[in-house]
Amino acid sequence: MLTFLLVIENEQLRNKLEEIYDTYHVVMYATAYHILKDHHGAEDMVQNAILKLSNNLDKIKDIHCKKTKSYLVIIIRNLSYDAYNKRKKSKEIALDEIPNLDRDDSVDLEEHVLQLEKSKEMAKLLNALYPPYADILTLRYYYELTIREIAEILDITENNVSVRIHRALSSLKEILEERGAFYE
Amino acid sequence: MNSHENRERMDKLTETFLYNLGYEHVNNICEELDFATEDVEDVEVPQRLHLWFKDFVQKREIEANKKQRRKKIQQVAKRAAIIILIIFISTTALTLSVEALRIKFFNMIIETREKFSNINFSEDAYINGAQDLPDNWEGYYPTKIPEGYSVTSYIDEGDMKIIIYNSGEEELFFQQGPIDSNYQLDTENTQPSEEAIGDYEGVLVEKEGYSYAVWHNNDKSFYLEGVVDIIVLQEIAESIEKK
Repeated sequence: MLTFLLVIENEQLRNKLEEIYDTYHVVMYATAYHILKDHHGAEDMVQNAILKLSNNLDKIKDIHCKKTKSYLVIIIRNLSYDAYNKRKKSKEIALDEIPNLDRDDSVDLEEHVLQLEKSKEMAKLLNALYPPYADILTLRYYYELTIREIAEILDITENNVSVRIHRALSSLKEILEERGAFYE
Repeated sequence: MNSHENRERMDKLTETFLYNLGYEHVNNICEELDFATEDVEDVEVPQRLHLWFKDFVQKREIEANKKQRRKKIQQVAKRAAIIILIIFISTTALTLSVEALRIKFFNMIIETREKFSNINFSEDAYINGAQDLPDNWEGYYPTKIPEGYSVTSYIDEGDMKIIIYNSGEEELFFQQGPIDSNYQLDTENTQPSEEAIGDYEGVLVEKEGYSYAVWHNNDKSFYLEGVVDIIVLQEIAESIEKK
């Protein structure tokens, strides 16, 4: 009975992965290609993303929805940005050397949290500033992934994730403070 | 409201704000993709990628099947180990005496026969020992067990089968095994009795309130033990049939 159930479960997971690929492989490939401008690189990114997804399929409940579509785009986008930066050999700050930030809520947004109606605009501004910031806040607070899960799926260290979240929150606060004065 | 409560409140509000930010970001991404539909659809995905994915899924399935098989083997091995342990413990408990009698059925020689008086019990005193056995039980079982006993557990491991009956106070233990099984009875300070059980040879022992019987037919060997009179035990032994 146990074997039978495991076979069913494997088949369901396989079908889920196949359906995700069939539905979104074009969007994923196009997103990666848009950043890398290279077909081989884009292929690598899609393969990498599929590998990551296959270990976390339980996170995806409904395949045909905005939430899943964006989730896949966020993953492939961030993987592609990292690959692009590595290729450029751009000098990234040695994020691992920065002391680990255990609390990612060290940035105080207290004054601004009641401006829920401004969320859409804030999200656009943050995305315009640096897309990975908006992406990482979304993974953490909307998709409710843990630091470890984010690190695994984006292929970065947990410390790196903490630092990015901290910087994203800092950037968000700056935007809120600048725009907050404008909106008032 | 104290500062701790206030802090907690602000943390929750901040999380809600950031959740909403993420929600709007997701909507923004989808809107951007909708606007860029033509650009997205113009991108040609190479066939290589589809081939890679097909290969990936197949390999993943093979790996998953291997894991399942390993898990199943481990489960079976665990069960087998438990069964072997049960047999070992029950066999060891009977093998403590210097005068312990080892019986091999093909070499057994009956030297003397004691006469047992025939004591007939009325049919009402017995019930069928097949009650509570599963429908797919394919082994022997006593068709007569004393009233008040019922099946409390059974083990079915191929050639080796065990049925345990319980009256609430006492147990009746019935075991069948391959024809060449070894059984050992504690016969210290007691006289084993070699008797006919049905059409076959067997050995009966009565000691300290317990009765034991070991016998065989052309198919299997059997062991029976219980806190019952030796005559009753012999009747139970003679009543076995194959389901």
